[in-house]
Amino acid sequence: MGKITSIIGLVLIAAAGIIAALSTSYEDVIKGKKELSSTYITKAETELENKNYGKAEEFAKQAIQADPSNKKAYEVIVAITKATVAPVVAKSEEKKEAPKPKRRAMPDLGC
Amino acid sequence: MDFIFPFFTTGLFDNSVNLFLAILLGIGFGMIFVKAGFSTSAHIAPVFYFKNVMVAQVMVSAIITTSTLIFLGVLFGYIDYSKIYIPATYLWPYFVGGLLFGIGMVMSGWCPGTAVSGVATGKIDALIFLLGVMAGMYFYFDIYEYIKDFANSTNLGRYTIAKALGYEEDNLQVSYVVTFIASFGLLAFMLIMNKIARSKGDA
Repeated sequence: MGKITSIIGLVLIAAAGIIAALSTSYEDVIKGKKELSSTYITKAETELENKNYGKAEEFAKQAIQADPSNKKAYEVIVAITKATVAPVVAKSEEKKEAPKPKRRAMPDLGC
Repeated sequence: MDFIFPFFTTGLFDNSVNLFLAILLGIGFGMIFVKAGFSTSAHIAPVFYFKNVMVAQVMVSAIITTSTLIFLGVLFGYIDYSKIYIPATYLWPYFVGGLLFGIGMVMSGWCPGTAVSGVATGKIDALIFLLGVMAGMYFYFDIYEYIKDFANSTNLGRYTIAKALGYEEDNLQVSYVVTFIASFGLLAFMLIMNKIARSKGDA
């Protein structure tokens, strides 16, 4: 009984594989990659929302690797850059713009 | 769908979860190994004389099941094929290494993985084989300095069946069909040779 079940299982798996191989083309693998890319993007966006910028960037890069034409992936990278770099730039600008306290030429002697 | 295999390389599992699962999967793998008859050289050695094809049947079943699931997983976007580790192919070193490996396997009836399950089930011949493997590894590292040019030669990188046939590296249709035909061809060959051996009274 166990042997027959195993043989039937193997035949079914093999049949599914062969039918898939014969009824699809390389374009379907590309389609699978695009789907993969959008899953990575969903993960990247979730991480971005949670402010886990490192992980978000990692997922966005994986999305680009799976489908370099995925515009959303680049948008996520831009959003990460804005979120991480912009505050640093703003802080440095603030430092530049902040008026320096005037140094007195002479100590205030009270006269 | 919000998960992508393999979980470790696509970020769902961290190192600790991965190691824990490796232990569980290792236990399961060992149990299947023993159940499939891979833990005794009395089942493995006769394969080379076409006297017993059980091990070949298990291997072909495993190859077909795994390759089909990977193929369908990639096709439907559940597996990131680029994240599946495929070691670089060193053409001539692999050929020579495979030749030595084959000689050792026919002589002993073990390969490194099956020998470990053999030792776990108390087989002394498996233990002697493993000691031989360790001595061989020691010897290899001792002479590595002299053969390193050859050992690192003809590096073809991530070289898949599809790439070897002139298609895109990740063209899994081609790789899958070739694997399928080769596996069933091997099994058919083994079964025919087994029948011949039986009719001659060898098996």
